[in-house]
Amino acid sequence: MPRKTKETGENEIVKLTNAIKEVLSKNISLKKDDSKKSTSKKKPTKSATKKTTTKKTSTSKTATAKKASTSKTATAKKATAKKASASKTATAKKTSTTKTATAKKATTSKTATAKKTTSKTATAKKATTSKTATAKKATASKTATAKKATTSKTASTKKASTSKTASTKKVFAAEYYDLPFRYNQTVVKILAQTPKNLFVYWEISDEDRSALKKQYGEYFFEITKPVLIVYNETLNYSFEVEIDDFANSWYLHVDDSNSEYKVELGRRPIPVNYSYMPDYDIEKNGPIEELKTPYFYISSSNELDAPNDRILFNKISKVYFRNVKTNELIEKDISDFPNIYKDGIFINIYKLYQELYKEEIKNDSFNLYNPSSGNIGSGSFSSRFY
Amino acid sequence: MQKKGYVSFVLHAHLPFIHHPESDDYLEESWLYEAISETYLPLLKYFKMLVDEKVNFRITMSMTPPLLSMLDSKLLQQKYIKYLENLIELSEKEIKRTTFNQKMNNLSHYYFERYSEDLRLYRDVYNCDIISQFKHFQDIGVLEIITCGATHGYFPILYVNEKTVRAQIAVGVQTYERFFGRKPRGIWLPECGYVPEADKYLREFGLDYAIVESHGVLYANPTPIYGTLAPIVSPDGFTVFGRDMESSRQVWSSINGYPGDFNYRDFYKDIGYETDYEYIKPYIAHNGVRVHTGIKYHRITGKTDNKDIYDIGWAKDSAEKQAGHFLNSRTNQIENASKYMDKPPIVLCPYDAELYGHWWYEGPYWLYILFKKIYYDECNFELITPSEYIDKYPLIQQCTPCRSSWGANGYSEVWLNPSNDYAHKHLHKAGDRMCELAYNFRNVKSDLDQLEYEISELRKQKKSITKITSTKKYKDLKLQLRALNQAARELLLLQSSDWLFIITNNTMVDYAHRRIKDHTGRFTRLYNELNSGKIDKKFLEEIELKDAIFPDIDYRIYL
Repeated sequence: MPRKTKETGENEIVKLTNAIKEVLSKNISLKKDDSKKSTSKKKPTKSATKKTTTKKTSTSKTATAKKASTSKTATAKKATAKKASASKTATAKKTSTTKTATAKKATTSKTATAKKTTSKTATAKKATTSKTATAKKATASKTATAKKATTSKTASTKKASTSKTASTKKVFAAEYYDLPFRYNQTVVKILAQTPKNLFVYWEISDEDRSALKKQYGEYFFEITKPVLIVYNETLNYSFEVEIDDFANSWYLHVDDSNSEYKVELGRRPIPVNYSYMPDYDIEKNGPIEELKTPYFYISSSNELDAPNDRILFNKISKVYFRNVKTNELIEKDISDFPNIYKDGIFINIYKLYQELYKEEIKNDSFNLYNPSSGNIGSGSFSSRFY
Repeated sequence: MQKKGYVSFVLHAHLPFIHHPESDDYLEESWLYEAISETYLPLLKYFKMLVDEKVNFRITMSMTPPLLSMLDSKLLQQKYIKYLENLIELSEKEIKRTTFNQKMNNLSHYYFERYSEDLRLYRDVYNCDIISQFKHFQDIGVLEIITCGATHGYFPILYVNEKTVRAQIAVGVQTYERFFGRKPRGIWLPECGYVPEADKYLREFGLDYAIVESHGVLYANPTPIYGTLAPIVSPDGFTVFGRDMESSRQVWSSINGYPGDFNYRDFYKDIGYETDYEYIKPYIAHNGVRVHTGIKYHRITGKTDNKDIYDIGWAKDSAEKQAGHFLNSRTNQIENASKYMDKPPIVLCPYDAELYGHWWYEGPYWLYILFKKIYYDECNFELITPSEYIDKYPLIQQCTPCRSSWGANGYSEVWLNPSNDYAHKHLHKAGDRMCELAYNFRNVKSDLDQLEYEISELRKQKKSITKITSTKKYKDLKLQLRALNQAARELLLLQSSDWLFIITNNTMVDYAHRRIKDHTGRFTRLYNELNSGKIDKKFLEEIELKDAIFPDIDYRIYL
């Protein structure tokens, strides 16, 4: 299967998505809804086919699918790399699956929202109409579509206005959003997950992709591979991590906490492999030359200070105090603290901490499993509602 | 006994902004009602008792802007009254249902009286205004209320765009001033998430101090010579207090912490799950899902499914014993620490407010007994608020606190991991776009102010104002301003750390995903509409009603 360039691939995906949306909505609308509470059925109108009811659970399923395909952990790296080398054909497929998943989600969640509104109006209606109408009639009005309660201005509005709820309670339009798949921006951002694990995400804009192709050839992205170069600017060293084009985020392990880091996204040439570009006509255009430049810069991240993860100094000579009322800064010698500096012997800070925290400090480090509501599953008494 | 140190209790009261005028189907709304009945009203009750009994005590509470906004919402106030009426009706039925069992029947009566009293207090005495009740205790000097980030946005993730952190702080402070009529001195950093980059903004808005996790102080640079037993001040002049570890464990630990006492009420056994479905149906979720009702008859009993009936007297005995234990532990701790210090140590004890009462049903009573003991019994410490401590001992060691949070393992794993990391680029992008909007539309507010001024002048001269109010320019500016301010609200709501937390915690995951999508979606739509000059007024009106928070927000905080 040909590996398409991103642009055409995306266009196709959009088309495919729309097609699937259509098929899905039709299929779903034919399915008889069996969820126990909401009994909305499709109405044989054009608008009704758009919004019908499905089970909400499918939303979370698809969400996970998407997540799985977009976020890559360091451990997932191997698997992905393997997959990548095994068959490049997976690319288009994979992306399209993600997209479809999203599309599906779009349709399903939309209906889920609609469902809610429906069930409300339906019940409300039941309450008001069943008094006058027969039970049969009430059921009939209950089967009205979600669309009715929300957007359509025709018959439904008329009906709604006759019901009590409509006059006392505002009816809101149903909303459904999906997260933008990308923002068409060139960006590299890093965050510190822990003192030694950084999270990086990135994206290259269409414009920058075209510029690179214009400069280095149409197949620039097929004959190079992406890399992240991690700079430790405090200790002045760097290392490189090979990533792949299917990922848009990564977790990077670093050896040194308490350092300033910066990450650069770049590309390195790889041997030309024509199976990546089946559209390419070698006979007509001649062989593609391998790129001679060893490295292509794409973009840099923000600068990030990784947190500290230990007691910094065992010994202190000078201590600075600030009077927060006057902002005066006072320098004191450690010998000014007779309780810490006794008989000419400095009780080092580690020993002092051991005295202060008998139970909490072991092997030069603290037990950071402080229970709190932010500390899930570590034996802390959960105190959040969720 | 000679006083050698201080203990400071800080209760963090927070719930995410959950406000759905569009539907009654959101179970998540009941978090607020449960928190009012189980935590906020009991705290108010015991504060009042302490004051009436002339017990001198001090306590600090953060009340976050989303919580304040919900407590202030007329819609939610009405819904809470309905919630109580429903519970009173249920407990009446329970009195009948449990006639065969004297012990349970006593409890049914207790719940009936308790919820009836809640209703009387809330509706008839407090006039639905809980905020003013807390304000009262602040005004008489026993309670210090501190603020929080506008929507509990987690600074270590947001600070890649510092303006978005500044806005969290600015709106947090503004909201506080609106409700409490003064400036806050302290802030609860959302999730105790500390980054030194925020200090300058915290100072800019007049904040003096925050609470950080223990290692926020212990791993500071240079190393603090008093550990967490005294605050430290950053080079920017912002003071932080480190959480005490020993007292944390005594209260928080689910294994050997106080709330696990066998005499205490069992949280999980609730009639919402245990009674006949048809019987309980009107009192559970609208969609028929069984949920906690708040009526629970059993005590923890032990590691058994065979639970005994709860006995209020026994539970009170346990709370009193534990208060005594806490008092002794702190006395010993302070005795030891003061040997190494040339100023009195402060033991800082921060907890989620909702731990007290909601999860630990007897927590508010424990606190009440403890405060009485501290006042009357022999002990070597007093209660204090962090700002009182700063005022008494303004000479503070200068160190840069360590980047930290109170999440698992002390850093950002809870709010940044493979389950929720898809959200961060949207948080960041929306933040950048908001700054872009604020800049591109920076004159909207001032231009409109100018027109409003001209209108007021015309009014003074008793002239017609329609020559301004009927212009397209005037109408456009008005709509733009509303869209800009709403965009800021959507961004702030998107930034709540709660959504990321819920996803990691794997509880109400669908709801959290949905909120991330909704706020990103609403924000993005406003962004596009502002840029294209086609603002959909109906859409704007609806999301203004749904996300009705921060009425006074000024989008120019993002400049």
